[in-house]
Amino acid sequence: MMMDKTILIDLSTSYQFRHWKPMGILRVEHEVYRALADRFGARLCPVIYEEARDGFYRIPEALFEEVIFRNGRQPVVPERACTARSRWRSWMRVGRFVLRVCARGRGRAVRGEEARSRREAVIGTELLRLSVAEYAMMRRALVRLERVFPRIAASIQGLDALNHKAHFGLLRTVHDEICTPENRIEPDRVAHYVSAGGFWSDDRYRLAHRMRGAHGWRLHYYIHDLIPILWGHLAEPTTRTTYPAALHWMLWGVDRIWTNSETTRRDLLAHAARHGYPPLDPAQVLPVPLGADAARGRADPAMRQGIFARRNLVPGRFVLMVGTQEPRKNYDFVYRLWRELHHRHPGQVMPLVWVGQPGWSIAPLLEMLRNDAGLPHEAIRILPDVEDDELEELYRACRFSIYASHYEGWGLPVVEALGHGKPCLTSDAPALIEAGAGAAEPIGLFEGERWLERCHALMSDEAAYGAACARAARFEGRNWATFREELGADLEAAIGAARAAPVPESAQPSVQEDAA
Amino acid sequence: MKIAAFGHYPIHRPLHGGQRRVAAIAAEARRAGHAFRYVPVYSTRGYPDGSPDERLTAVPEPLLDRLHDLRRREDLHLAQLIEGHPLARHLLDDLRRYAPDVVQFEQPWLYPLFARALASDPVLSRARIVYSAHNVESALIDPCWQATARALEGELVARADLVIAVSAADAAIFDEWRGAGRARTLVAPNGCWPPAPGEDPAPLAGPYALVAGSAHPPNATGYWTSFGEIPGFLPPGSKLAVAGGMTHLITADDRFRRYERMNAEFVAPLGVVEESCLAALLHHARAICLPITEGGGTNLKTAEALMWRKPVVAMRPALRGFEEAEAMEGVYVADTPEEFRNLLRDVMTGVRRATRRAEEVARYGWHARLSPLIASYGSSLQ
Repeated sequence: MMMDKTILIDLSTSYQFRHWKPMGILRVEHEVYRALADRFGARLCPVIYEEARDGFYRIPEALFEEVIFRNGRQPVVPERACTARSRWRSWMRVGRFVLRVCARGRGRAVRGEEARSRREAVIGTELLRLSVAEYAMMRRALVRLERVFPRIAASIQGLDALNHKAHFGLLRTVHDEICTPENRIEPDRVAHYVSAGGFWSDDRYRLAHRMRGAHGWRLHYYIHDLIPILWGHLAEPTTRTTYPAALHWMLWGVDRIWTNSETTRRDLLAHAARHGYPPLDPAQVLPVPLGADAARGRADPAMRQGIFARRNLVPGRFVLMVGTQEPRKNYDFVYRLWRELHHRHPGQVMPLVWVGQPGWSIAPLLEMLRNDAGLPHEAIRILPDVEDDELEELYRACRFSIYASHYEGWGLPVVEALGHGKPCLTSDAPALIEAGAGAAEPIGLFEGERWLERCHALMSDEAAYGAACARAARFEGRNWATFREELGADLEAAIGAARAAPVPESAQPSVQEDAA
Repeated sequence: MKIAAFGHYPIHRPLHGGQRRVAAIAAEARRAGHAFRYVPVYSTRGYPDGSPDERLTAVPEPLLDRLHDLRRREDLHLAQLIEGHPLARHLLDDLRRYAPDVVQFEQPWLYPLFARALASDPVLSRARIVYSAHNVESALIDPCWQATARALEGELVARADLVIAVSAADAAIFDEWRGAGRARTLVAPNGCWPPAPGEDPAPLAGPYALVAGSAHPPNATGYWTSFGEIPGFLPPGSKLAVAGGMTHLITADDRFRRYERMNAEFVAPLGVVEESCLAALLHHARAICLPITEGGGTNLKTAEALMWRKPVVAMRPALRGFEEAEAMEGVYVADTPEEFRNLLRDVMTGVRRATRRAEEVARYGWHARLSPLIASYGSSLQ
């Protein structure tokens, strides 16, 4: 019987951001992995993309859990020598470094990856016996020597790179353990490639595209939003430049697309149609909305007490806004809203709690907020370091939540707030209306008076608050198990269909052929 | 026959459509045995590369600031500006010495400078007047100058012994202005010289679509309307080559910079290229694009694209004056930008790949296109 070919799941994003808490895209990538692992078992192969070698590498089983799910195997910064007490001792150290490196390298021509790696380890160890100042001293001498022997320039550059790696503990990292020739993926053994992460951050999409053309891989992408294109002016600056080309390549060679919402699906189809991309069959793009039960466990009274004491908050007497601090989330609007509320209803306005990591282009707003004498002290609290457990308590204990974002692919904070039975005032961004499913209260961003009136009512009018809570209670949230089931089933169906059909011709442009 | 022609640009190195048309008229007239003298009165700021002969009649340096004053147009107010200047007298004296049989105006702007002399000068009043129109100028000019342009253009159309138009539509307008009983406007559409591919290798690696145009602002407008900001129609590995003076208008635009990284991969901004390079670009292109969305007259880039027998992807206004070409193989005409992009994608992927036969497109050569005008020099104007 013929063996089924491998399904690759690209976990490069989880791997690259393994020091982060699994939020947003990382959470989705994890859940997609779980969905496919449950369904396809050993046929599923988790990989990362290695840019320098332009290849996909299997993550060895022994490392997998720790690296991807447990924030493990972070580089450890090693100890480095302090500068010697006198200058001549420092020069002695430099001399010793040169002698040892030469002695160990003598007679051994460096061949192959393994030998190179061993030699780097030796030099790295010796480099750590020099202080940073002593390395700089040696380097200055080498640069002088370079005037006489220009050819040593490349060696100095190599030594700098090695010194950097040794200094930050980047020699023989987990990366070297993964990216070995044995772990490199053989293209012919692969049938499907799944990407649910930030595929635009390196060249993985180009390689996948080439593999599709050369080896018939079927490509399946989970698309989170089109923010870097539709709202590029507010997008993270690097993503703004890398995403459009990545999406371009994806749209020129994709077999199945999942989106996190109908809004993202609609935006993607419109984008493809508007700019002349190969026609996307609407049936080829399936919305698989995210779950929202990750931050829903049991209340822990002790933890709750600790959190609110430490944060100086009173349960039930604060308003919550969750999201990375960046311009698209429209913190600016909410800040002005709160300022006006204080102006109109002095002494009656609850604190507003912003939960989220600081992002990009937000510093001027935060600076303005800090210097605003017209806003009572602590009227707006910024909590950038909130763990999942604490966030859950904040959701449970807030009066209501607010989410005035300009644009989203999906609205996770909306469904999380509603999932906790809390009223949620949102902007009228299409994805937020969709995520709120009639249980949230969308208000246009130009309806300032209505925002003011609703915020005040939810803080001070119990009847209005009760009605808003009743509306929120109508919310039927999805859980991640449903997400996994839908996504896994859809990929299984796509794999079944792919067995019968060749790779669509329209997706294989004959660009190499010269028409002249 | 001695023909003296006046225009407001040099033709020594013809780049934009108007220059190419005048250069072609000069070449065809001389080929037919006529003495054809072209006198350009032009701004050396706009056209720094006139020949030494052409520079003799360029607008003098001290007048250039006034010519390029924002309150004036460099064409409409040209005659008014140099009237009374020694250059005007020199031009008239020179014309009188030449004693032409025909005085031809390429576009109407210099006519006021000679109007009186052509009516009353004993030598010049014998000359026949030809108005060689490139557009209906007053229809295209900014509304604030429309009345002035209409008066100037109308006077020349009414007075000319022969009016030449580039399209039947333009000719109909001029005939209406001239009224019944006058010689009908002659149509001599734009064309191009037969392609000369040469031996040059492809200037770009990989397949590409070509768009070429001068720094005429409507070329940039057409580019953005037709291609849009994101070149989704280009398969990975292919490019859109942008050649000519329009390149700078495109690359300096915020819309280009917004997607700078993507454009660096998919758009090749070539700038002004030598004729041989342009020929090589045309020869090796997978598609020739005509993203023309506004303007009048007929476009000689269209004739050029048709004659190179490559697949042509055009917005409908580009086919003005070439309407019959839509029925030809490998000519794809779009009514909307989305359709334009889809057609271009199909050409780039080889879904559409038809070409035309040489004999089919011979009619777009300058020789054929200008033959009514050249014939009239020998007949109706005598």
